[in-house]
Amino acid sequence: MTNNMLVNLFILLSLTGGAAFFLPKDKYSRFFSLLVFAGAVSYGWLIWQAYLSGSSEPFVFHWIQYKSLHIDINLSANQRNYLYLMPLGIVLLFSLFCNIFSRQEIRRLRLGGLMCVNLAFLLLLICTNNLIILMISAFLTSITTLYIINDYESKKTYIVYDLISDMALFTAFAIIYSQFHQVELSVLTKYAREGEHIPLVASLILLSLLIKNGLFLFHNQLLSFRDLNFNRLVFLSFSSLPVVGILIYEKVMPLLSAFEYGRLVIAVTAGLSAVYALGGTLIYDDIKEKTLCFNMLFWAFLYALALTVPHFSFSAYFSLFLLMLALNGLIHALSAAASDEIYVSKTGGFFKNLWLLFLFFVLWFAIFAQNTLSLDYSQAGARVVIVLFVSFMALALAHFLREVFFGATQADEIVSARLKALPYADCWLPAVLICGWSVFPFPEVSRTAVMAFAVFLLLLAIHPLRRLSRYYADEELQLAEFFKRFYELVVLTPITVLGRILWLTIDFVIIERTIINSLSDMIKFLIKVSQKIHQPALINYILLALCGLGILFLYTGR
Amino acid sequence: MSSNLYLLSVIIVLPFLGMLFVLAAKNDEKTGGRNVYNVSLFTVIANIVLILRMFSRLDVKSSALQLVERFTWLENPRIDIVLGVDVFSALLLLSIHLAFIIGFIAVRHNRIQQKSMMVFALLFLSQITGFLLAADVFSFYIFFEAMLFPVFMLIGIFGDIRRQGIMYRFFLYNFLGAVVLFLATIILYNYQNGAVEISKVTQLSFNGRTEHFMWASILISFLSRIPIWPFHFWIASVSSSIKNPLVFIIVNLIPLTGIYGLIRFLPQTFPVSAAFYITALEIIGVVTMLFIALIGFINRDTQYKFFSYITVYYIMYMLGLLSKNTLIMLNVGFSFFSYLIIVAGLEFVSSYVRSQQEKLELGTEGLLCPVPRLAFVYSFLVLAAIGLPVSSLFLNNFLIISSLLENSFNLGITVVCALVLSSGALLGDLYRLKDSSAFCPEKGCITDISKPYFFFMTFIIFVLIASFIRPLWFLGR
Repeated sequence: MTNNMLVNLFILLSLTGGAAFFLPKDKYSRFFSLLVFAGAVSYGWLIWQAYLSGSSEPFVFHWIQYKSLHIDINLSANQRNYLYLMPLGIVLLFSLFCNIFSRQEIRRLRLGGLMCVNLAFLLLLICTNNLIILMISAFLTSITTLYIINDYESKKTYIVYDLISDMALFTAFAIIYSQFHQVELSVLTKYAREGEHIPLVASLILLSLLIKNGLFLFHNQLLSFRDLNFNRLVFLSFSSLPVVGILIYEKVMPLLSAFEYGRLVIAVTAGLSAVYALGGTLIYDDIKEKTLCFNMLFWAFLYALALTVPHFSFSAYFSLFLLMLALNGLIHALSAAASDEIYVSKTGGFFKNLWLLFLFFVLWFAIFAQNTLSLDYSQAGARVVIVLFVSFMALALAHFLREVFFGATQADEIVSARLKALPYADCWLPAVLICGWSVFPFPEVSRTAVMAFAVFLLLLAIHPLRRLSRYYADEELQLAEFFKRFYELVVLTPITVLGRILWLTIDFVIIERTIINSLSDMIKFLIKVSQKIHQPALINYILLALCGLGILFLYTGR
Repeated sequence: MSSNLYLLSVIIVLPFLGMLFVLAAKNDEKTGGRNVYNVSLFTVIANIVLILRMFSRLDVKSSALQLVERFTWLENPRIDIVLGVDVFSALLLLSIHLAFIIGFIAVRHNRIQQKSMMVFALLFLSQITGFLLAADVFSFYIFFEAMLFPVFMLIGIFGDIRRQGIMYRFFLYNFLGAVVLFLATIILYNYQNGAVEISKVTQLSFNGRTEHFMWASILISFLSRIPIWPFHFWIASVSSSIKNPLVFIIVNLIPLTGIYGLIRFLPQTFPVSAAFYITALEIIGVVTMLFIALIGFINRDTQYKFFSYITVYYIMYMLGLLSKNTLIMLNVGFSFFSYLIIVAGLEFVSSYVRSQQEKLELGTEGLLCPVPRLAFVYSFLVLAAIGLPVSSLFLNNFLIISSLLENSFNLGITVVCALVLSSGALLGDLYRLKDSSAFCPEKGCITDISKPYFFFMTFIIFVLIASFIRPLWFLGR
């Protein structure tokens, strides 16, 4: 152990993660998960203390030192790094806590270990100031994500998108390195000024980030998490690729700002993502899918907000980030209370039993509106984005709550009979704690927040989009994977056709049938001729003698 | 020389001696092939110990040939045999031996023609070791050609039903390469009238036509070994027809000899006459890469996918070496270290899956679902193969691709596209094997790899991770 808190944390998280793999799988898994959680709480406490004390400990490990290639691992403990680590630590604690009690989780120890290791890699990403470590931490997070996803279809979708995202980032950084032979992040500013192929590099980085954040056109991988259990889904939404994407975005902003269409691409993608996510929250029947659309809405607005401020910093939106985490927790609690029901069409009229949970949802929106509307919106663009975000959330959440908590119940008898006033504490307690933490210290309630809250209540009362519920029964809409089909048609089919044509024409027709067969036939022909010439006949003797003489004359020149 | 204790010669001769012991080993029903197997394995392990000893005597910061051994073979005509090693060839030697160990472990229970397999495998190992340590043109040529014999025999013994056609192609392509290199060797010998050290080839001056002919011959002979269009066809046919993992590993070491030949012969500054060939080589190389990556992507045969992956990487290394950068050359060397181990490991696990599949007459979908140990090893190796940061391939690839992008942007981008396709092919194959929706326990499940196998593969994984943690360890601090 060292004096540096972040180094210690990195080691402890890695060791905890590693140890979780070697513990018995089934025996006492809850107890061991509790131990992992307790360990994480103690690490969190130490970090909190270190953050408050404002201590600063430099730590640089010279990983590779060779002529022009110097790569350092920087784990300097400072307030900025502590600050960035805190919300991710809270996500970890949230998920580890849920993991102890989760009924759906079979491999809870392994999951706990992976979560810890994941945070260790994110720690590297937060602290890094060079391209290689940035890539390594991002890619290692991709690997832990791959192992956290325990559903085959989700994994298959994820791995394709992730491969493209990682290769895009890899190529972009390789181009930058090829021009300046530097790996420090400061080279990005230099590259933005003097580099070649800026549009390509910026596009590659943007592609990578948009995929990681699961924004429109690349949302399939994010939505495929619907097949995971709630705890995994929440953890991946808030401590995996989307966070990696936004952290990288913050670091590569100097380069992206040099790309003239960068802002346009982000604005269009964020706008389309927000609209798509709003549509998803209203139309999808699957509660998990709705939750993912809420998250998509958040990430889309975060990107849109990033365009409106001169210096984007993820830290300015931490409370919003945690509030979204809390919303996920509350939705999880709702599903757990209804015996893990995941279809909105099979709920309704839950208010009687779950009024307290409903109250938490309403309070959540009040805190959310207050927090969001108190963000800095001195820029006109920011004002529009924030107002739109709150409006979309109000519309989507009011629609969702109205469908679940009011109206005639569609739940089957078992679900209705088992409906609990509040489910297990693991589902709602952390979410409520986060909401409570978000309101301290009590801010002055803004008029706009009150208005937003009033609008939300109005929407809840009048339920303007009630007609959309008929789409819950539309199987084609619910199950169709338009974008999967689109990519298959636009990307995979041409590649397959091209590959097949090349294989059949060049490999078989040209090489096998033409070149090799011709050579084979030629050799056969020569052998035949040679056999004929060597047959005992007068004409052959003369022919051979003439050939010999011919060669002799050719070389002697006579 | 005496201080070296003929270390390099011993490293070459030991597998040959092992082969003689294997020939003499009792191989009846009572021994069940254990003698043959144990002697072979012991030989390779003993040689690894010697290679590690050799490493300890190397100055890793020097790029010159070291531990040089010189023997006079013939007085008239004067032919000297010169052996030497540098960091690059030492790394290749070590990785080839490790790949052989993996191959041996993979065929541990294979009793079909076991003695022949081990004899030719050890003969090949001896010859490829000699090839990597040869420092003069003459011994280089001898080893370069001699190693074809065991490969030819192995294909003949272990090839599938199409083996006659495959052997014909193998002979055709390699014979062409052998003839032209033989002519180039004669020209070189004629100019020098004695031993020609490879490093001094470029210092010889020829007239225009001879120089052209010599460089064309050298390039063609090495290219015939690399799966570059149109020479790729024989290796593609062999790779998809060979089901024996050890033989597959051996066959796929042949392109390495072509790449190594290019490294040894192509000097830091290309002669003017070679410039044209180099440009042509780059263009053909990159087109082949994309071509084979595309075919690998659509082909459902795992062996072809491996071949496609192997080819893409070999050509990338070849293109990287043409950048004439010392750092890149060392990176290629160290990348080979991980790459060969990964390829051998992948072949090991895939051949295990294939044999189980054939035994139980199952489809490929979902085979890895009930076998966690095998699934873990397979997944790890695929992740390492596609260049994620779990082995040195990651950093090595980064530097090689940067170098390619620096030399020619379009070429670099095309290489990246080919890498994406070949990685996609490997991942697609892995997820076909892991397809839980197609897994049906009633039809039967394959058996997981045994614990000793798993521990062995865990050791291999550990070696790969270690190579990531210290990717350029051989350069020192």
